[in-house]
Amino acid sequence: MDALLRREEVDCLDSLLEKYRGHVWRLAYRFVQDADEAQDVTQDVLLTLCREAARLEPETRLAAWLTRVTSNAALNAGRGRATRRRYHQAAAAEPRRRGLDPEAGLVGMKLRRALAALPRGQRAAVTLRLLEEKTFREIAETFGVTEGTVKVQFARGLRRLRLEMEENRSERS
Amino acid sequence: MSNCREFEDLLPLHAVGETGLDEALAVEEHLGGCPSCGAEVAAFRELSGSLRRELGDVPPVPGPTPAAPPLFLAGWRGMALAAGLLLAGILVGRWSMPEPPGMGIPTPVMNEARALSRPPAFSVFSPAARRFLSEAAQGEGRAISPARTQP
Repeated sequence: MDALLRREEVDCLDSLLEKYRGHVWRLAYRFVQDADEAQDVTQDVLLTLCREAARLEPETRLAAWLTRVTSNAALNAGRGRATRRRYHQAAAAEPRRRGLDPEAGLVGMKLRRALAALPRGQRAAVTLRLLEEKTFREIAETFGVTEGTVKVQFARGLRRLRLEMEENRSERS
Repeated sequence: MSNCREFEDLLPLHAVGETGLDEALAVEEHLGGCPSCGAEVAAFRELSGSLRRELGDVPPVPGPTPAAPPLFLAGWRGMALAAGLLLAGILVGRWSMPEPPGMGIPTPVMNEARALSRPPAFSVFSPAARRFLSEAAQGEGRAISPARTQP
């Protein structure tokens, strides 16, 4: 009986992983903008889900829980110097990989760099609102903060990005 | 112009349509007399559009990695083994087949007809390829290169 229950739990976990793998991957990629890094984050998050699944409260909204865990994992992913160097190399190679003119991908590369350099809260707010199309309320609920806090983080993040891009432009000209 | 700082956090939110009605009315009123804040709102709109355009694409979820074939079947070793087995099968089959009866046709004519109807051994392989395949069948196969398979 125990073995049967365990089998059912494993099957359940399998279907959970299958169901949410795409969600975790997409979100991880939004933050790290690199397929290898996103794959690492996805595996870490799914492992966390396997470990924590039995301990989650019954009323936990799994999608929101995964959004929080994935965002945190992805925000932590690019901290090391080696990872940052790999990130910049991947960002520079991206236009070539997609068969585009490298010059055409310059804006994207600078945006990636500027976004990665934002403080965690600002980066999460801008990424989740603009790239993942989450509402401020959803973001606030996910991280357990007020909607006002998310709005302020978003506004400051966008302002900082603009300044960064302006500086880039003036350096080039 | 004097109260621009009051709108500092509101302008990016206004640019992406995230201000409430009261805030939106206040921002619009301010923008009416402040071209520099108007230019900021336009720049925030442009920036959020660029972010969506440049970083919005996500590649498809990578599928599970396909299982690697067993080592002895991988690469040229696998090809050589398969070719060797095929060749051995053809030869054994040909030599072990009983001769069909002549059905009353004179023997020389029958032999001639059989000779014409049978494909010659190794007809599809060059001598170099034949040598390679026989080596492969004996477990001494080497990598297939175009030069070795050309006549």
